[in-house]
Amino acid sequence: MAVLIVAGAYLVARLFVDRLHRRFLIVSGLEYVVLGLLLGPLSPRLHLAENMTFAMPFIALTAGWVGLLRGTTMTARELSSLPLGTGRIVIWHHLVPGLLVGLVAAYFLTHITHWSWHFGSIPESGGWRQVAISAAVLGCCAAADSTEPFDLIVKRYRVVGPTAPNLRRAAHLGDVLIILVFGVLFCVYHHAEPGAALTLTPTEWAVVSVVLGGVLGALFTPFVGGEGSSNSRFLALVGIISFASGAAYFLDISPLLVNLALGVVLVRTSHKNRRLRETLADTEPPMRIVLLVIAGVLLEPVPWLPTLVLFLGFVALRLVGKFVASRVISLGTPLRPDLYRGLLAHGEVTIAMAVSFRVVWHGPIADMAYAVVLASVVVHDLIAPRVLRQLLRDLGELTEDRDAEVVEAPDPDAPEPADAPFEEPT
Amino acid sequence: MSRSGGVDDVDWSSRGPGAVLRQLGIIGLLVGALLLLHRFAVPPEGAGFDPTGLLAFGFVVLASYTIGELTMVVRLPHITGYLLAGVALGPSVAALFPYAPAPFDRGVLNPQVISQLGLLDTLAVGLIALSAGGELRLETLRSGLRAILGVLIGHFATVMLAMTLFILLISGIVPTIELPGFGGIDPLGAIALGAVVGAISFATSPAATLAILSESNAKGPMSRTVISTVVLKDVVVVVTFTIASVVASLAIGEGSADGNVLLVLAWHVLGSLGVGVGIGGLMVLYLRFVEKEVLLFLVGVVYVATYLSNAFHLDPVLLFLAAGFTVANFSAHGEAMIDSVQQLSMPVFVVFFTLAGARLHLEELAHLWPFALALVSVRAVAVFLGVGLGARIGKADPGTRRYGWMGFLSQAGVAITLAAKLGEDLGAPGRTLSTLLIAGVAINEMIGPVLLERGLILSGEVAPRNQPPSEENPSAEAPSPETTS
Repeated sequence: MAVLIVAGAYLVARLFVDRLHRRFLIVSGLEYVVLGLLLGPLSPRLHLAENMTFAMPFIALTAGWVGLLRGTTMTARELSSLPLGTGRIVIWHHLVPGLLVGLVAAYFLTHITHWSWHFGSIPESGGWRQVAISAAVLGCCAAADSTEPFDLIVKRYRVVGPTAPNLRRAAHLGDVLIILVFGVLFCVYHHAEPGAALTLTPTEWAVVSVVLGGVLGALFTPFVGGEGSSNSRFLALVGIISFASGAAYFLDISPLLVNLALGVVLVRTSHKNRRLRETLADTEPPMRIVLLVIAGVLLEPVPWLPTLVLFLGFVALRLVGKFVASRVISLGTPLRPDLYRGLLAHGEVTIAMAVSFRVVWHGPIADMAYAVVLASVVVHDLIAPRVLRQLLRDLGELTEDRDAEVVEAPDPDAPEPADAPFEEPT
Repeated sequence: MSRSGGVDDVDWSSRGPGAVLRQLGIIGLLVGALLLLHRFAVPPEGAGFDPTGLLAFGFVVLASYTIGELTMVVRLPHITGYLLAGVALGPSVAALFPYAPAPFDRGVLNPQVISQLGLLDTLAVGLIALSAGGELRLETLRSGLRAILGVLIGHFATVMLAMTLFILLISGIVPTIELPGFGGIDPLGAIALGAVVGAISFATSPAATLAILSESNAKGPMSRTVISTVVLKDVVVVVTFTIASVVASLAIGEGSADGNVLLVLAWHVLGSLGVGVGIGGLMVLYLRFVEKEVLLFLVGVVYVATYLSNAFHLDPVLLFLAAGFTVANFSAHGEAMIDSVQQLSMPVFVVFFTLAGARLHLEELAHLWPFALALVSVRAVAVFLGVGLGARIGKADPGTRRYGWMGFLSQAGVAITLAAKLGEDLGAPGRTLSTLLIAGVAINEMIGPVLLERGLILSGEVAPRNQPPSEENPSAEAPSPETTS
């Protein structure tokens, strides 16, 4: 019965929710997280959550896909053609909310057992490490933003100004930065025990992560470098990402970072990098859906009151952090002080980070952090496109032209749009 | 319908000695990387997940794919390469090298990893059966019904007769050729068990057949007759096996008649077909009204339907065959579904056949090889005679009459599943026969695909490898874009 309900829920999601997305300007994805909830915690008879070992290839594949895709789009051209102010936006919009949320979350999670919410105790084994990594992951997820609202807006409206494409680039670059930071977290909280075959410092583990991705990228170039069909590239990518992700998990380092480094090398060593990117982009939608469903399945029941407090604090501090960041970068520059309105969404990098964290770290604190990230993704992806639309309307860069639905999303490889994108109108 | 995912979907820019060396180098580097990773593995913390299966999956996809490419050098189909890769990475070969470094001491594809990859196997079985059902077109059936029925009946009669006689012969009637562990069976029981073995021997692997037809891009009457017959055979195999195993269990005193055999059989077969048609109908509705993310939808359908078939004791292969047949024949969107299935065909074939190779019990083959060889030979002769005779009666095309038998030797999933069930249901004699049958399947699995490809070349429906296309080989003359290297 549960299976039929889930199948029915999927059909409903596909039939109706897609229309609602366009009508109400919502980033697609909520319905799949709900589907995952139906399959996982709400259908205990299916035992999916306990048997996720069998789904690990899918989990690693989808999360790795996100990393590899980001890596293959990080070209020298992309970096050299960034408009003025983008670097500042990327740094401040990730640093401030990330640090703010991370530090407050660390304080909250450390002291949660002292408060009278009957939360219970933090497990003996690795208690402080679980608190620290959970807070750090919350910080990373708070810092992350997404390109999806921009794509949604461009599909529905005619965007005439440079703000949307330039903010989209900033969000895209931010994805890469966050994956790097998230990868470093895995190295800092690496759990190699004394006497293990390989005992390295966090810095050395970080180097191993990047070098491993780079070496695998060079090794796997022949698989994707030829004239083969998209089917053969798909096969090669499935194998490459699984192997790289498996290697990362084997060494307890971040599969996202390894795949990112792999992608950066692969796209440079392969003669057919455009086709490679096309195959990755073509297969991204199903991978994204699987990632969202899995994210829902992995959700564990959590104590609602402390989780709610943590969630509200997360959302508020993230907003404050983004607001402050926008204000700071506008000081002494022509950049608008409310650009944070375009960078509120979370997107699939956040989901991929959360899932990567969830499959490795277990326990009540990790479960709470994971639930908060998931809830935040749902909430922010509901509101972010509308807030972005309002920002673009205020800038006068949006034309209410429904016929513009056919306009393609900005291509990250496209030539640089007009400069001076973020100036406040006078 | 265009097939894809085949031999020529390769990425190697050249096929000369340099390419071969590079492929060997890649395999060497992959093996080296795997050894290093296992050497420096960090054990998972607490209840953290074990990534061995994930790493093995990535390794298998890349290594098997490369080995599949290498088999082309010796003019063998890809599938043989995948099977050989599975054997090499499986536990049987690993048992020969107990002091090898990890993970080769237990096999990259050891039973634990195979179990972890079971979800992909389920997907493969479902997609292959959907694809096979989609190959069964009404127009083909109408135009070639006589030939298909002729081959089916002729093949069935000879295989059942030959295998029954063979089992009778090794049951102790002639003491010098008695199958070890099979003594004490009376002739009636041996005949009944022979019928069960006949039913299993009648099975041909739709997956192997499809894989060869796909990678060779074969087109012609023999290809159509072979794939249609192979798909229809599955229904006959399930019915015959169910009836024969009930009769055999009564004959050897391992069971009792409960009067519900026909009901169970009817539910198993008709229920599977009925539910399959229903699922096919739902797929048609989805393809018509939603039409998005077809690939993902198919994956979901496979898992949901497999779950339902397990819950209600249905046969998943029959179910998916019926669903694929329904979509392909009663919907204008059938092509879209088949194309989506084929998009996944390469990873599916690589994983499915590599796992099939890893599951082969070479130690059993070593133990029973004379009987296994005899079983395979008797079956091959029966197939040769039966298909030839049936094709003549059914007035099939000359290619099918002469070479059609070569398309029915491969065996895989269905035969192994039924052999395992025989071992569970029919006591000690059943276990002995199960071992013999699985050893036979190991041989058939290796030679079947090679012979099918050879048969297609001889019948002129496929160009020989490395030969330029000719007028006699129209399929080779105009390969689909997907299969162009």
